[in-house]
Amino acid sequence: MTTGRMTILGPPSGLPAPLLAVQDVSTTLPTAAGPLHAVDRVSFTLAAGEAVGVVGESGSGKSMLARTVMGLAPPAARTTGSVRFAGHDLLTASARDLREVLGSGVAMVFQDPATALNPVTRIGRQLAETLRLRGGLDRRAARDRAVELLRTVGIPDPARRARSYPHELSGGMRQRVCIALAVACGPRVLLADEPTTALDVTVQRQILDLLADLRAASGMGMLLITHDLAVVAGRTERLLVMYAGQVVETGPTTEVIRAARHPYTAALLASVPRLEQPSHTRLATVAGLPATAVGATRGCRFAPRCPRARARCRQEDPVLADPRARHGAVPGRDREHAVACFHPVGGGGGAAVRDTAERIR
Amino acid sequence: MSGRRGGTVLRLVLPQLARTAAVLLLVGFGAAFLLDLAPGDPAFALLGEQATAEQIAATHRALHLDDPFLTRYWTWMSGVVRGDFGTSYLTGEPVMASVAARLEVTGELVLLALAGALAVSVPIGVLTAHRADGRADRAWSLVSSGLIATPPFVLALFLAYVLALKVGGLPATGWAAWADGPGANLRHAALPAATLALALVPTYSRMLRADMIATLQEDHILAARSRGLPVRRILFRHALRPSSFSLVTLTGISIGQLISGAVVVEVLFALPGLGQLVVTSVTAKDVPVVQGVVMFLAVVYCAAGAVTDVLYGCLDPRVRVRPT
Repeated sequence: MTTGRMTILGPPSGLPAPLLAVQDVSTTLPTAAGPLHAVDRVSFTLAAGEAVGVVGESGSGKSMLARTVMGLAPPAARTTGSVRFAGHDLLTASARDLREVLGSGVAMVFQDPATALNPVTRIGRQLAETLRLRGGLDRRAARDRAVELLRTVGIPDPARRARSYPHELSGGMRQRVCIALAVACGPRVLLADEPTTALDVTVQRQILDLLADLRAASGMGMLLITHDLAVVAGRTERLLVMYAGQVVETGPTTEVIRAARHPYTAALLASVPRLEQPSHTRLATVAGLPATAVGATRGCRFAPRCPRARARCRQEDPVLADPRARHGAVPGRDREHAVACFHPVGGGGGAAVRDTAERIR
Repeated sequence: MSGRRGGTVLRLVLPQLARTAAVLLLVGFGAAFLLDLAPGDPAFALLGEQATAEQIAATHRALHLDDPFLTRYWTWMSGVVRGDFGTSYLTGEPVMASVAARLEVTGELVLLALAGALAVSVPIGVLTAHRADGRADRAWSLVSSGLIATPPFVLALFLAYVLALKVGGLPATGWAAWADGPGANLRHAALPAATLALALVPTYSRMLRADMIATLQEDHILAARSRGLPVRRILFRHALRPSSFSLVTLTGISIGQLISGAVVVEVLFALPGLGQLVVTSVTAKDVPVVQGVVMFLAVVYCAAGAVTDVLYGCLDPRVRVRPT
């Protein structure tokens, strides 16, 4: 408990300086049962043009992490650590400074496009409002730019569509509008919180492609939050695996999927359905219920569900470390494969995810 | 296309009109029937206690008071259909004219009270929802509970005492028509309108607060914040409109209540409004006037309901009825 889970030693030479540096961020929510550690000492960096994935089950703290990074944690939450962006710490910035960064510096796409749009305002007006108030455009320019943005995100007949209300659009179209709103003021970092979860599988791919295109065109960094490993495979360079508010494994996406070391990551990988399995094969699941950390906890949070747990796992907190070093002696670097486990698995077993990722691609 | 749209409008409006007509018919009958059951004779009110039997009989004949109830109702109703609401037993004036003359006062009071109540309640509701359970919110919850518990006539007397007698500047009783100058008119309307409005503010503001708190939890509010939009804009442009359904419903209902509430206020502040007219007409059993006022109130109720329905559509495009 005395040291952070990961020490950022600065970017290795040759890599661009990070746009966004999240260090030791914790978000604690008061509950009737005691303080809930929704996000627990999470650190990562995001460089321009880079895509980082955050994976975990529902309740693992992914969405709360995104809200905290945006400086929009619920009023009751207590946040510690720092989120550095463009010379500001978004956790301690004044409301005024934060507003200057939100939308034009850091922006967010939400999970459910049915609820993330104002239901009583035409989508063109919603876009124009943001462009006028945050992008400094006048009324007319904002209206024209709104139509242009709708075209950019792939809305057919954008001039007519701008006059539609959200409920007149399909789910995929709505998510495109949400994305247009998020990128309206040219943010340098985009947090996409389960952007495809509420959508049809066929539409998922289009939305992920759109996000990838926008990232390539603008060079913004993107945090792609999802419960679905297949979504991040092949679309992110690095990966954070979260469990009960903590990052339990991190590293280059291909390496984490190819050689998962944390038993939780391995279990997630095993639960991805595989094409070559005969139909009606029982899907592998992660045994037990997802944990949330309430009050003071001791030991690894995955231990109660972990087939490899030993006495030490219930006594000591594992810290993120290079899995090749014995017993977490070497603090892991941000961009290297690191796992928070005393008894990591041997690696391998990501075939299902690669298959599924192929299909989604 | 336009022909089809016209047909649609007719299809929407006709049933509404039919319902309104049925309501008016029932209300008119009910009012006439209740007054017929009540004891008393308008002839006495007209002629005084010392009237002779012949005088009374002559008045009865002149006013058709000896006809059976249904005959009188039929005569009255057929007049109404032609737009003739009859004449007052007491003054001989056409009912329409005396209602219209009084309406100027009551209508102004009601509209001022509604506008004032909304102007105060909306900012209070929005701000107490924004900082729910904050100091201002808790203080207002205390004050509004107190206001709800205070009967209007107590409030009226208190306001008249403080603002008219102690502070001064506002007349405690009486009325000045708009034609006498807007300043005088508004000064006379201020206290009675404030009395009516203060009774509405607690319910209006707390209803809006509850709906606002629910709206502020929604994703689209978080999304608006994530785009860095100003707080005030989010509160008043993004959250207020979807939160105002209950308030609109309540406002529609309270138009009717306000006219009834005006009876008490008009008597207290000695105002020549509809309320006073009803009180004197009921006492004198001036049936045509009472029926005229009752019919007018029924029309107002129905119209308020229809306007509320239209407003829902303006507030939320999802409830708009579209041609199919």
